Amino acid sequence: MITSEILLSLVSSAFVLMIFSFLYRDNFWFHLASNIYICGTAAYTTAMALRTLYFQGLVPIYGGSSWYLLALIGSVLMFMRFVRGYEWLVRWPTAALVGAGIALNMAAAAQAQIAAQIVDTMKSVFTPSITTNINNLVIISGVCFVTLFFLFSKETKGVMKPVNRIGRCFLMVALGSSFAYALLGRTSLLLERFKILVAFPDNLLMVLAAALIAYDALSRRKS
Amino acid sequence: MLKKLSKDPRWLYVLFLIGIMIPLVKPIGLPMGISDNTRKVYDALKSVPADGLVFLSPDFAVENRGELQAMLVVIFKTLLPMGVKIVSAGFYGVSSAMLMDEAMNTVGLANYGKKYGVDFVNLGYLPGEETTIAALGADVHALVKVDYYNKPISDLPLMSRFRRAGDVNLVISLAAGNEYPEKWIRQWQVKYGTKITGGAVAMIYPALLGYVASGQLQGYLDSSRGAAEFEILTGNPGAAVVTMDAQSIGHIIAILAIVLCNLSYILKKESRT
Repeated sequence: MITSEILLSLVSSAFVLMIFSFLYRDNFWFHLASNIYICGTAAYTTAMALRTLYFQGLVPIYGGSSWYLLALIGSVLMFMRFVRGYEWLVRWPTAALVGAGIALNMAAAAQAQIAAQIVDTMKSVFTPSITTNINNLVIISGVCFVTLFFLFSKETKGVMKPVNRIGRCFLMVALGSSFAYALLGRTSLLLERFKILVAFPDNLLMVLAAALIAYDALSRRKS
Repeated sequence: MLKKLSKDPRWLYVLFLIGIMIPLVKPIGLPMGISDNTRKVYDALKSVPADGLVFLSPDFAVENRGELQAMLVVIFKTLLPMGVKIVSAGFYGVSSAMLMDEAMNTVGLANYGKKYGVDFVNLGYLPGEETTIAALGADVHALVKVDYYNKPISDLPLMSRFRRAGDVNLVISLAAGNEYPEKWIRQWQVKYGTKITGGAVAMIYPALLGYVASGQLQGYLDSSRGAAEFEILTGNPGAAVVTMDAQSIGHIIAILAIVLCNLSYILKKESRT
């Protein structure tokens, strides 16, 4: 018996396959699925934004927190960029947002992201554990060489040439690690979908999609 | 084969799909260790006293569901039997609250003898990012009036004990961007000394390791791999564990493809010279 859960799963799998079909070639089904996705996302985002505006903007005003009106006026001013001749009004709420954001961020950032990180880089390379010493040495030298790599006021010649090269090596290792993590993440996303696709009855859709692609490939080869 | 691959990358997709599908259908059972970071997250969760309060923040959206939803579910499954109270709110995107709702339905509060409003509250999506996180830490009730289901928070018994950051024992941020754990560190840890842990998508995970090393984050879970390790560690094998074999095979194929492509590039270059 087809339950609503199975039906929902089939619809979800069909959309996944329609989007994946782009890997074979651009086609109608891919565009259909991507357009429906965009519509759904836009509708959901708008509905949630209106809900937020109501509960966090209008309800407090009705409840007597009249100073929320200032925020509401600021929000309206944000839309002034669409009114010809009044575009400049956008600057006021933007300035307030930027000012508050920077003020909130700066004080804590100095402590959390600069001081704490510098303190953590001051590691001992003379601990009883050899592996810890090696790790600490790599961290200290990595920070020093990469910082020197970004020292733009010194020309890359003489002693700065090998220093820059080592700094670049550290950066390349970091970029390589980032790429590997990106691969892990993307594979995870793919697997989350495939876990559903390989299960019955969704796997029937996959067989159908494979057959359609094979048929298309053969007929294109013949023509 | 190299020629086919270099002429048409679609063969690589086919190879990759077949490679990951086989272990999904028939798991191989490749060994998997538990990393120190996962143990740190586990210890942080276990350090919360029974009846303590945890703020669980799904700072991710639908597009990161594949990486973080399993993590959200297993963290939920770990916290509920401990008797810990959970308040949740998302700051990343409008769909974060929906994902929290999905996790709650997957786990089922009733399965653990818990009640909504008493043991768990979902405040929904709160816009404003860092400003909101800061405001929430100062006075929750001044900022939030209703929960995700439009119930006034004054009617929810759990919310009477959650008024400011100081009431929270641990923040768990499941992040799709490294700026989220950083925001929590800046606004809650620096100001109130709140402990912070969580999990992140793989792309941003390396950027957070510095904070783990400095002790600003109490460990961090690494994408679906971290979720799988956590599932094993807590004895809740679930959605992440079943994909780990396929993940490893996918990585092996990617490494082989990188090696083969570089080899073909070098051989081509040599044959030209």
